[in-house]
Amino acid sequence: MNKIREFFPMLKKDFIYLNNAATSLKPKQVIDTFTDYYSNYGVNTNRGIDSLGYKVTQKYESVRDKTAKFIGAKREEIIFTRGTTDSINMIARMLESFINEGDEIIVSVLEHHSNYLPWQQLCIRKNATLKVLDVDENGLVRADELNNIISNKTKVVAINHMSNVMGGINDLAHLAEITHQVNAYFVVDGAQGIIHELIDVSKTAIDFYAFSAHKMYGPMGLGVLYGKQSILNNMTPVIFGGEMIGSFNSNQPIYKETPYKFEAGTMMVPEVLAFGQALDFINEVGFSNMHSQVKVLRQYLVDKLSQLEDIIIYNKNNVDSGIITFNIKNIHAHDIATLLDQNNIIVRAGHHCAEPFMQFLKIPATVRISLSFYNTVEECDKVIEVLKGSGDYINVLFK
Amino acid sequence: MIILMSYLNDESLYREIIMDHVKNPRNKKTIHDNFKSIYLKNPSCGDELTLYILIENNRVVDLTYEVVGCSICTSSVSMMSELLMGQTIDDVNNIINNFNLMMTGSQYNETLLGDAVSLKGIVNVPPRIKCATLGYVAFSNFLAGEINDRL
Repeated sequence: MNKIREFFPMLKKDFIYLNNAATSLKPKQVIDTFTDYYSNYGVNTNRGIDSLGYKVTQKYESVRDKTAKFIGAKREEIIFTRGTTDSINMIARMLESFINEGDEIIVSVLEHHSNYLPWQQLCIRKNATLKVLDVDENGLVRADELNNIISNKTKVVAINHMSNVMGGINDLAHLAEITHQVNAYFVVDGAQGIIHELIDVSKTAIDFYAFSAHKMYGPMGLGVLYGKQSILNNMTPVIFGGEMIGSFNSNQPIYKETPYKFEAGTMMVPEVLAFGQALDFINEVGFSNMHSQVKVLRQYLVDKLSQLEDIIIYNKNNVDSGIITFNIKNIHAHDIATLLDQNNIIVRAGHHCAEPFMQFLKIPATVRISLSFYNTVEECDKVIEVLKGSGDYINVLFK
Repeated sequence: MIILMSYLNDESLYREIIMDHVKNPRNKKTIHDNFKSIYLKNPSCGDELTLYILIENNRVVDLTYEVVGCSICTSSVSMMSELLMGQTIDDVNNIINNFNLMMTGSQYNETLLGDAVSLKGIVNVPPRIKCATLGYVAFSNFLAGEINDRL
């Protein structure tokens, strides 16, 4: 483990990082890619006929191959975007022409704002109805609930793979099957799930799957939108500009094939290359090794936390994530977060961009610890030690 | 040694003041008749505040609020409600100004701030300054005419 921690420069700093669901730290090879790119071959992809451009295009496209392989997709099905938010906004725009007045779009109450607001806004634009699914006590979407509210008017069902608050894994295959019974599109926000449950899109009925590089040891500013090729072929781009048309015509251009028609303008080339390094890193350490380490740590910390007085853990049963969401009675989440921060422990407190769910729980905020495979038992012990003194949370003002 | 003693005394006094306002917030209630209100939310953390303000003859004659937030936010609003009650608008502006100076680590007039002086340590916890200032920002917005009637 110490050897693996060596790869992460930020782990050598004097703090304990437990906010991995917000963003993971980056290994050195990911960071170094930026200097390498801008120092040695920092030019555009897919333009002109120079050898430098050719080289960088080859590298860029090889990461598309790696990404496709990672989720069991074809290379034509991988569109690079700015992040999960960008990916979902893009799908919502792409599906706009399929939505008519009176149609319905279904999300769950536990969606991150990034998988809620784009659909809400689409409904407003098209005079459609947004239906919101309740979730069970573990934060999971219930198939019978979806069955109850889905109808022939439903055009899109958009659900998280794993909630950033509750950390449960939704049964995507089952939910997709129900969705397809009414010929609606099944869209998945994979921002959290991508790093906790290996997904093989070729074996599921998921139509779109969105995720971000930065939550999987890759760089910020890069996301992926997976779409089934048969669907993407018939979709019109929503962003227009350089390098996305096959030939210009003053009336209507002829677009390139997917995915190129969806990648207009200068793309985030070094971010893509760095993401390639992140995928290599995950494959070298081993996805399942990472995941089992997180599970062990989470169980350890949940057991210890449960012994604290006055603690409420909201997602004890969701053992497949690194996410632990809790409150301590009569102390606001921000006071706990500041107390931890003063002890150099970084967590997240607040509404987690999931205000519909906070309203559902009738609480203003929670504290969220999210573990990664590089965290340690000693770090968990330190959390417990600090939280044991949480009655004196006001101390932070007097240091 | 004397300085240290005085610091420790201050500290325990300040602690007591803050916890007292957390546990027994002053003027926390919803009053609607004749009051104007302003709602303010800290979007990054979700703290929510509605001030209900009654101004007559250029003076704050009553000030109540509803608040959902952390200890710093709620205690600060409670202290502010006591401070501003009965003050003229000029004095209110002066108090808000001095509170903001305290929050930025600048020189300020301690005698104007009453219990709110207990929050001066927040200058050392920069991410929380926005919690302590929420009430003051709301009142400033109110005075600037950004009245948000939710009555």
